[in-house]
Amino acid sequence: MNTKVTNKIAIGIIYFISALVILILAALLISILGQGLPHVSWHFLISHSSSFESGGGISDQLFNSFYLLIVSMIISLPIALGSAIYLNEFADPKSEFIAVFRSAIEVLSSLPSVVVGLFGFLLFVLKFHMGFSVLSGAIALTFFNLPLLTRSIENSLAAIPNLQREAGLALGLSKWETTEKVIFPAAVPSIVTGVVLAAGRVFGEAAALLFTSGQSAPQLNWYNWNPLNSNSPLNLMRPAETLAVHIWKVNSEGTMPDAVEVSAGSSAVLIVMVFIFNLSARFFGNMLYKKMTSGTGK
Amino acid sequence: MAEKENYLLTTKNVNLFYGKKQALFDINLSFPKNGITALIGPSGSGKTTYLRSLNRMHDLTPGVKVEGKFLFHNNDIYSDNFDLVDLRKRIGMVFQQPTPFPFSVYDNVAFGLRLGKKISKHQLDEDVEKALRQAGVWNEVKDRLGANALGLSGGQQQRVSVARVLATKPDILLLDEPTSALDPISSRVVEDSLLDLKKEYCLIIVTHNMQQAARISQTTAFFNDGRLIEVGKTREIFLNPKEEETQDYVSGKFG
Repeated sequence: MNTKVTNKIAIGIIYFISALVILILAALLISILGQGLPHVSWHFLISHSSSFESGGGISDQLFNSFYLLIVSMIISLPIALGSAIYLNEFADPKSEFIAVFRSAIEVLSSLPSVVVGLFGFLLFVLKFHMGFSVLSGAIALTFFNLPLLTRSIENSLAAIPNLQREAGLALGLSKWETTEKVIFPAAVPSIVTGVVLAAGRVFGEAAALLFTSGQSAPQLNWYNWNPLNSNSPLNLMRPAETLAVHIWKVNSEGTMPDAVEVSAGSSAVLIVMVFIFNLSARFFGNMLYKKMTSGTGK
Repeated sequence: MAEKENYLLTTKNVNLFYGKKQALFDINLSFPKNGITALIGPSGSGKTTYLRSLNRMHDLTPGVKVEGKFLFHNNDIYSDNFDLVDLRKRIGMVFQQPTPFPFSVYDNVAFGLRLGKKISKHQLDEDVEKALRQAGVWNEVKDRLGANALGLSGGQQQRVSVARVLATKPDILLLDEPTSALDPISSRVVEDSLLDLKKEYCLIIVTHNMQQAARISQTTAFFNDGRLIEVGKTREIFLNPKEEETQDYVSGKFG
């Protein structure tokens, strides 16, 4: 067999495998969206869920998903940023402490999310008496998110050529100034992309939240924005069932007559949201890159 | 020694170690206030290592030990009270690869200026233009100062990198094979810019390209195996070297 034939066969196999992957994904998407979207209506998106009657919506769950995402990002982003910058720019790669640090991050990133959830349940919900709450959930999500986020930011920083660091230092910048004024801005577009993709993952996370932010959603009062009131959307200490948890719950113990439709609709909404996250990751990354590189001076 | 006073930078008995391995042996070399000094020699001869010791770039690499005297305006740049930031502003460096930051051309050149004390927009504009003119790239980029420097050609990028260093008004410009990543035509343009600069600045250039050394430098220093073999007027080094090793290298017998 000559190389031309081998080449053709190899390419054929690769095409076949790629087509298979695309087909499976497309089938999944079409089935979820096909079954779910017909049940998604404006009413479905803006009304409270109901336990025993049909016609309930997912407004609280949808809001909870976003709220948890934002709170957990507020906690995890600064930590991830700090540790990624330390690891990539300042740490001595040969030190043993760093090796331990790195493997800790790796272990943490492969920890099953249900374990993170149970850990959060034992420590925050019970031990620290935080109860099923937004805060417990956000901290559990931080554990789940932190290693992935740190990795992705570290990779973004590592992708900046070393020459840029030398050039910064040769201009008389200190190491921190080089990191802050040259390396970090150059890495921002890819960091933003990584953060938004991580947000998509967190948005769809259920297992880590089952036992931390809880499986019940108090009906939120959209006119009460005092974070200290128990039915205020902003309250950090209230239980907050998210969309992903809602899907799980409706399927396992849903008592409403239209449980199948609610679950299908919620799944479709979840998929669409994650899709939007992915698209906006690309969009914001590109936009920031263009904005940054087109300059501010003139 | 009346001549000594004309030197801007004098290095004496420079020894440099990478861990236990000695890379430079007893280098004595001085550089005048203006003009171009070329450092030539085969790969691994220590010429780049020596160049990087002149603005303390080795400080960044763990395990490098530098010995000897480096007198710049009669102060030792390796002494504890010498401000490193100030040093690198006064002894600027241009690298083998162009190193524009991913900002606009204007921001690249203004970068070093903005680090220091506050300066007015008007002054900044003037300084940026002056630096770009000195680097011989003003006419090509004046209409797209706001465009990303990464979009320029390699030769333009390298001259913008030169302008960025010039903007901070250094006394000495270290150039580490500044044209080796460029095509011959761009190299020529960069060389022309350097020839203009030599009237005002002390340029020290490491080059593999012997024609380049012969074309632009007044003084040439030949390195081999971490030793300074010979230094003299460029004409002398190329046409009438004193050492056999130099003769062999410039005539292409090794290297």
